[in-house]
Amino acid sequence: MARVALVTGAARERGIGRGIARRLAADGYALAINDVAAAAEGEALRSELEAAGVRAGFYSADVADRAAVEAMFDAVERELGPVVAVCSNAGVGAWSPFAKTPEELFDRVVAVNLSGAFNVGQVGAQRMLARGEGGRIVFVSSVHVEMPFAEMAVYGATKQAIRALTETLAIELGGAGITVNQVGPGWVKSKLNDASPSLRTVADERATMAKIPLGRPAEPAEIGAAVSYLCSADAAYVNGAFLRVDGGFVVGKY
Amino acid sequence: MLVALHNLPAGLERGLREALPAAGHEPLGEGTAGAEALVAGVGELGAAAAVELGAEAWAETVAAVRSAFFAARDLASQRLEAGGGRLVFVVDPSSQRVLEGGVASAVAGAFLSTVAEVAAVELAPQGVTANVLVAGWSAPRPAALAAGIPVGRLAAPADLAAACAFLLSPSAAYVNGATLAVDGGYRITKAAGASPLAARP
Repeated sequence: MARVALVTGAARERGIGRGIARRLAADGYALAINDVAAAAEGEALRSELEAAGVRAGFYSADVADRAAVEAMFDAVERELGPVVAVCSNAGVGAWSPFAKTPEELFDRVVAVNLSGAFNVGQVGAQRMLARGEGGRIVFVSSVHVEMPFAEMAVYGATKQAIRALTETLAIELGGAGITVNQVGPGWVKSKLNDASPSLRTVADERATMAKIPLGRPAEPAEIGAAVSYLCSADAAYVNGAFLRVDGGFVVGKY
Repeated sequence: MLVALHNLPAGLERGLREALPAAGHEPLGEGTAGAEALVAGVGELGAAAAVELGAEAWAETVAAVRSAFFAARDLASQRLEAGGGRLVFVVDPSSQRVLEGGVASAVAGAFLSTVAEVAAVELAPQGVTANVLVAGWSAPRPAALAAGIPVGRLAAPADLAAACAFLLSPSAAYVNGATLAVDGGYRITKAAGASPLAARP
């Protein structure tokens, strides 16, 4: 029976999570598709994967809700089998001048991006430890780990915190054969980025893309390829790493 | 400069209250009202393995970060109107080099490090700078941590207070978005043996 991978925030069309889910399915994993909403899109992805002969299930759960995350793992284990690869991808973006950051923005972004990553990573790790057969955990962080972006203090901070979480889990779990790494997307053609002030007009978008050495955003499938690598046998010795997939954006063009 | 001190480890707070007046600053109590500068930390977060960190400890970590964030937001908001100001975020060395048992302080410090950098980008045009002080391991953290520190001892409150006074001083006017690690060299080393934070009491 196929090994099982779980990808959070994976339902939406044009989302990074969907790109990851499709790729892991193509790699031979049975796929647990999680999202907090977008049930119709999640079911559509499940149907698409099943039509291709992949065992898949859609699991609606809010990663910020600890009990819901536990229940989701229970359901996945019951229906698909033990999860050997966990990809924590669910995230929300939000923009605000730092000095005017609303409390609601902070609470919403931290709950999903940071507490969500902690819940999914910790529950996934606990179950891998209990089985004693190792595993793979991949967090989707961001180029925000390596450079600050104005008006995104909370978002960027949650990604930096995921970097610290990744590294700590990596050193604590390595002895159990569990690797923990993070993938750092730059600009991606995704729904989250549609709201970015940097893409508001055609001229804005052109100026933003001109800062990327490759001159274009990533496709979600390209982030999926990086997650696929980190979950593969080829990456068995990669642990605590940050794999930046940004077309050279952070390396920089003035 | 009138300096608000927000949720700092007790030793550092005592050190600052002693050192800042000599450097021409006036430390205030909690709250940012009337302050020209803020030194914000997350208190002293406990040690636990990441897979064992309980819901309560996680909530405490998030609450500490949230509290520091909004103290900084409020100070920034006030100083953008008044013109000029300083933000100093105090983080643990684990936010730069993680160690077993240090997940809470690593996550909290990493979070505030990026908050400092974004604030540094946004506020500097109005004369408000933001920086990070990596406060070296100090009491009441385990003395055994010194084994992984080239200087061979934990930080004294005075070491940290002096660095903080510098970041608040006119000499540091062009220091913005910087990370000043007063950690005895902890970040650049790899100590042999088990993490003292992972040791069970």
